[in-house]
Amino acid sequence: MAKILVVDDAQFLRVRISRLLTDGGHEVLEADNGFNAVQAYQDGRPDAVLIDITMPEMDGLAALKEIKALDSDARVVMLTALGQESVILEAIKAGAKDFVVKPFDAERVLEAIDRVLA
Amino acid sequence: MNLPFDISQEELQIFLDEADEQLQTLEEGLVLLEQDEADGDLLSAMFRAAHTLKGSSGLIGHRRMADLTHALETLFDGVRKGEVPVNADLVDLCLRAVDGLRLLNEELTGGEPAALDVQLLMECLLALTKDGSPPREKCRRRGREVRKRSEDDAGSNHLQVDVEIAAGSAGSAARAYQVLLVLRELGEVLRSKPDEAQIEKAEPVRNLTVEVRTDVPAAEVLERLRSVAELERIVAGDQEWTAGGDTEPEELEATQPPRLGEYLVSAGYISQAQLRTALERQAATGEAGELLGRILVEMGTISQEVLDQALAEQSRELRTALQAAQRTLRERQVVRTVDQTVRTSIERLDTLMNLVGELITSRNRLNQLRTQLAGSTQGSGEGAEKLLETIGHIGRITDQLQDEVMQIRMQPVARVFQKFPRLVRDLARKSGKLVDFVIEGEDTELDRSVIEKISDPLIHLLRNAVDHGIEHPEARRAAGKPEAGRLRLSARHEKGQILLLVEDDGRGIDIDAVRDRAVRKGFISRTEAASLSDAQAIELIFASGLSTAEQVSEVSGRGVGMDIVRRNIEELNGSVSVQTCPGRGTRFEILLPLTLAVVPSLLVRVGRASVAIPLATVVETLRVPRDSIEIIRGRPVLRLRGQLLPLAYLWQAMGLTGGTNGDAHVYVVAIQVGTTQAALVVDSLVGQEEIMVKPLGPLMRGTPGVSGTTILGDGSVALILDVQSLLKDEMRCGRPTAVGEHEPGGG
Repeated sequence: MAKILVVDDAQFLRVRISRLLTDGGHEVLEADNGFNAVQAYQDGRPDAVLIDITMPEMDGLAALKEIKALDSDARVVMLTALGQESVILEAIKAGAKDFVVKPFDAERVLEAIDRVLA
Repeated sequence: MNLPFDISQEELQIFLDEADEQLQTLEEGLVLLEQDEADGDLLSAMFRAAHTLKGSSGLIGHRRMADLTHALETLFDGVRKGEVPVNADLVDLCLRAVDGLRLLNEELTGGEPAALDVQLLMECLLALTKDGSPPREKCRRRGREVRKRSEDDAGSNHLQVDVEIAAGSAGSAARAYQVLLVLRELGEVLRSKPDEAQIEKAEPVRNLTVEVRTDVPAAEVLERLRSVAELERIVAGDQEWTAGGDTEPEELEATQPPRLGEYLVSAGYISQAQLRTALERQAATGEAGELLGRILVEMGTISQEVLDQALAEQSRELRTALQAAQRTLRERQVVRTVDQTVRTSIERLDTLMNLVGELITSRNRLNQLRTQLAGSTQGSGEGAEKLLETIGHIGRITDQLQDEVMQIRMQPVARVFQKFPRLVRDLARKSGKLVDFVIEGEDTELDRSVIEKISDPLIHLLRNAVDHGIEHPEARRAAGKPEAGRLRLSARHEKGQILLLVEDDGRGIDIDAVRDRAVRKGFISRTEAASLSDAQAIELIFASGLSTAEQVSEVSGRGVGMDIVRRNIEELNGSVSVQTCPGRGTRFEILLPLTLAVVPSLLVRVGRASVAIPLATVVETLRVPRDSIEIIRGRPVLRLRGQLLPLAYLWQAMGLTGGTNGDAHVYVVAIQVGTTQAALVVDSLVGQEEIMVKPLGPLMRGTPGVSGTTILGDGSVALILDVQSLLKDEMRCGRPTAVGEHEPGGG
């Protein structure tokens, strides 16, 4: 259905989310940090991005801004942990379409993806 | 440009077909609604059609379509409940909305956004729903006009939006900010509480109130806000939405998993009374976020272990329920595709029909061989008999196969007829007339190739009937007729053909006016006009460039109609004739073949050529003494039972060689199209055969009097006579003089 870029430094989370999305009929690209995410976005032009905020190299917020600079229509959903209110708000202001708070369940992720793809 | 709809190629066709059906249901329903013939079932059907269309367009992300159908659905609901009165304005507006939906539907194939002001239409529908009053002046404007969005626009108004953000949200400030972003897209945010600066402090926000100036209807504002996650409740103007309160009941009710409390009770962990106590305590804490499970543990009703186990079980159930719901959805989709029918392309059907045609040709050839064989000495003996029997069997199977293939290509004329009630309704309303439109025999079936081509001629005849035939109510009353004119369109089988009738009880055609007009336009001389019988004179309306309406009206357009009607119908191997009675009405009869591919024909020989004359045009065949052919004014005519028929030698008419056999008798085929008759002299009659029409190749195209070719049973080629063009030539040069002057009042 759609091509989705999943960005997280934790491989387990990437694998879990990827499987979830593949089961939902989506195609998945993966990246393990913000820097690679920007690269992957440029190369693969996914329909949506799921990106963790806290990552080494380049964090999710910085990657979001880069991606939005590449494509102002980019549909980015932030993955965050509790207690990151101000970062989330900054992400929304920077153009993130939605956010999902960890630990999240499958439906929340799929719902967020459906929402931004709609 | 492609609009971003979530739909695959295969789904697209299904979507379009269904949308067409639903729009048709709406349109037909609306016309009936106005005639006060709508009952509860019809209204329910209309409501369902709008509802289904809303659902499927929403599913593929066609927002504008979903929004507009939503407005229609709401309005129908009001009508159904008797809250909104039905009147012509309502029907007008709804029909415009349906037109709009058609445009939006086309976006799917056209790929360009339709120039349609959905906003305006929705507002008008909403205004009607709310107070049932006639829509405001701007609602009377065409819906296609794109309205400018400016602040001083009368439609702009202040809207208060209240939003409740879920207590558990880890980013409630961000959600509040998202709400502001959405509202800014829809209009101007005037003020909000908390305001933007406060929101930016990233402190939790539970309730947000925004005053916004927008010309977007509240319902749409609400709909758009629902794109923001973790909102519990949205109020926009008079519209309200609460999380969980809007699930489509028929979709999800059955699969909704039990809540924790209910689950614990049903599993026997706690009693109903214990649950009530816990719930009361939960409410008393004032914090909805306080978890019921924790309260129960604190109360000592259940242990943490039991709670964990129950939560695990509950989530398992939740998953199962979800999977079940997904399965149901999937199954529903499968059911939809694995229908009792298959789709196939028209080309494939045409190929099949062609192959059957070839088979018919071979069958004819086999039949000929069989006759020869049966008549010869070789035809006796066991082997020969079995062969003859098998040939007969193949013949019968071929007949059945042809019938079946024909059946596949058959479609009810309803496919064309169904759009006419709307057409007639609009025409009547525009011209200020009352028309009682009746359709009969819409189940009658016709080959799809024919169906496609009868629409235009019928539209023209119906337009004419409303515009020129049926009088204004006052005139009708004065003439002692009911105020509403009666217009009837019917279809039925007759003698292996289809008969279509368009009848009205209007003023009829003024035949003298037709004569005058024909003379003034130089078609005929005054003497000729005077000598024409009424039946002949009325035929003049089919002449190109003749229109009897004194003024060109918006409805019927200019006088280029009837000749095209006749030409279109004759191209289908059909005929059209007209009868009229002053003050009583007009009746058009259209006779069409069931199919264009196979034509029952009379085979004749002319010189060395075989010619097929479509049986539909053959009146009779005769063998007459050569000297019974008279010459009147230099043209041959045949006197047949007191009637003079213009006569043509077919070899001359078709530019063939040979043809004179010198016998004292000649074979004559009397043919007729409409009310025009003629006699054709041929060399010999061969017999009847079903022939498969092959279009003319480029070299043969334009050959006078030939409409196509066919391959006969013996493998030879026959020419198919174009009777229409032949008669047209005859009529132009011969008929009025030949018949008119020597047989006054005859014909």
